[in-house]
Amino acid sequence: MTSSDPQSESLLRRLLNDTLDPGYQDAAQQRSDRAAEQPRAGTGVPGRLLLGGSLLLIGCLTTIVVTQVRSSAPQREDLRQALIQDIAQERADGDLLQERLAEVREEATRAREELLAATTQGQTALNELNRAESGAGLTAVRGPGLAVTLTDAPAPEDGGENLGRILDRDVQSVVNELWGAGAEAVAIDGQRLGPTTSIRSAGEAILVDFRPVTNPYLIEAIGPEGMFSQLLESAAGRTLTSYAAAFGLGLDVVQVETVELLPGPGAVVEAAQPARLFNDRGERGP
Amino acid sequence: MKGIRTGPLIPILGLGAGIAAGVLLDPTVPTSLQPYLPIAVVAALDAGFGGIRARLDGIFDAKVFVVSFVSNVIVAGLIVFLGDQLGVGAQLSTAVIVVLGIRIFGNVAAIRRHLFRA
Repeated sequence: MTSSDPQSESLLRRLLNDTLDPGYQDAAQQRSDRAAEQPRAGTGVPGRLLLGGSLLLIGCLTTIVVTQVRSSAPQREDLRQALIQDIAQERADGDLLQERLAEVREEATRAREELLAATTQGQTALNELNRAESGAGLTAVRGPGLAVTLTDAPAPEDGGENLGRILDRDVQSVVNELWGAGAEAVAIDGQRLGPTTSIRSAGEAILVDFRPVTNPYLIEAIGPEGMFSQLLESAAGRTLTSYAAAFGLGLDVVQVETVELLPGPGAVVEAAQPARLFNDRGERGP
Repeated sequence: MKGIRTGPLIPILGLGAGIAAGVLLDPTVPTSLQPYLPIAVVAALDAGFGGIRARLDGIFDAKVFVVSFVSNVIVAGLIVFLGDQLGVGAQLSTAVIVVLGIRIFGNVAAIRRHLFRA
């Protein structure tokens, strides 16, 4: 047998062939060397006791490990089952709470509407509230509008930089032009935009409210009919049209009969103060 | 050359007593030692099969057997302990198991050749 690396071969061969502790061979050699004077080295009572003791230890160790592995396996299974049950329980609780939240929220809205509708002042406040809520993207809306689709240009074949990729500022400019043209509600890839929504890049991805949206980017808006021409004639519209001609990115604007937009998640309340329900004379109202 | 005539009685008695003790006493192992116990058992099995083979080869020596058993168990445990401290405990355990497993396999094959001449 030939090998380019005799050392590693001998190491492997030694591992595979010389499985016996070399000590036995050495001891046997020594014994035969001085066989004349000490024919039986290592025998006698202490040797036998040690041998018996070692085997006792081997048996003991093996049994301990076997019993331990056997006893811990069902424990692990029990633990796993308990955890699974916990998860299911908590999930059911969470669903219940979610339902309860929706109910309570609806009750609160109804109660608010009833109370406010009773007075003219309240009616004004209610109208204002409804306008604010739809402005904040908290209600579902439907109506005529636009659908703008922005598409990345196909990647160049030579593997170079794709100049026709849609950037966060392209999306931003379209959305800003839409708001400027009188849009009442805007959504990107189905995500409703609120007053504090951010449209930012993170690496290659565009994030709307820190949730990624993907190519092609569909921007839907509900608003007046003039939006269509106003968007195309705006600075942003002209820029994107020229980019589309130069770099091959896709810009597609269509008028849509009915756009349906879902409510947004709503902004987190960051500042609030208790309402003054009674005036200084102890009467209801400000 | 003839090996040492230690009758098989004492080793078999010892092994049986050890198994009985393990079953009856059901000792609890400290948690800190638990990861090293399986490795120690494999090392002990290696020493045991080595001893049986040496006996069949006619070169068994009680002292060599005891020393190899004790040192095998301790060294295997230490290697795994060291590996744990270095963060490569699992890999070193695998290395120890592979080497000891090959040795056990080889020794059992030698024992088989002795017993069945095949």
